[in-house]
Amino acid sequence: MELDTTNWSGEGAFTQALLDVLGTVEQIALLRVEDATSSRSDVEFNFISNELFVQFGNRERRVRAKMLGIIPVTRTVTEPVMTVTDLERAMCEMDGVGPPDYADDGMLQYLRTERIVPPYQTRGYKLVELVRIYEAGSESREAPNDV
Amino acid sequence: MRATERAGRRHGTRGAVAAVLVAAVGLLCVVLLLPLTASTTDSAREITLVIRNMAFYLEGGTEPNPTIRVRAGEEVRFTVLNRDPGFAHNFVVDAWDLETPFIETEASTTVVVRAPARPGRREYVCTPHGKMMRGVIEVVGGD
Repeated sequence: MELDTTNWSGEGAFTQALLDVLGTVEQIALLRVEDATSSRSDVEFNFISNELFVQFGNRERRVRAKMLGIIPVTRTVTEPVMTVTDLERAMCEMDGVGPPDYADDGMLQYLRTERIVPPYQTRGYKLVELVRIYEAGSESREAPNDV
Repeated sequence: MRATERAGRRHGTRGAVAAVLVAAVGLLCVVLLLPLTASTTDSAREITLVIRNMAFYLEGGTEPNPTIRVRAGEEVRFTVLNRDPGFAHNFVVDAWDLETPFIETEASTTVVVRAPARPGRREYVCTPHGKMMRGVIEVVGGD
């Protein structure tokens, strides 16, 4: 599997955990991770938003068809070996990952929150990590602010 | 008999004229007052907030949780649209006793509120995500 981290700062422990487990999925040919533009932080929180784009491997399958509805022919079709829905099912079984917090036809979404209190300090901050997984070629949900 | 008939006709004509006058005055009042009632409804300022990526944005804006400026005493119609997949959000201004119900993904809600007469700064927030979805409404002088 090819991993592209060119546009990722490396922030996000859960994102790294996802990359580790997705790296073991044979059906994934390419995995690209990017920082989302909505990442931001303040005194009381650190919001890390990352996006993963997966490209599944392909397989060829021969299907029978009829040309002009009469002449029997055999065609070869290329199709992905996995879908986002299949991936969701696989991830539910994975240790440390589990089912996504939200899923639809084109996206799996995970949200992890953690309270971080640095040593020798009484006040901490909330670490929120949002990870969205799409099939490569899909549009990001970091949509422009149109209505 | 003729005199009585004439008097009756005169009364009838006067009654008809009076009725026409009353109708005309009534119509004039309706014509004059209708725009006033319409303008009361339409004068509310429209502010559309779009929720995405765990933040409020003004429609077309790029700044998360922006400061919203309204004039003192101004009537404001807030439309809040949730474009955050998988999260229900609300819009609350405690100081104004304003609280929308939870808005599901791709749903919206509208609330109309009159800004306080005195300038000041108040917080708006999404209750379950209060750390990250929090901003300020600034009430400025009415002029």
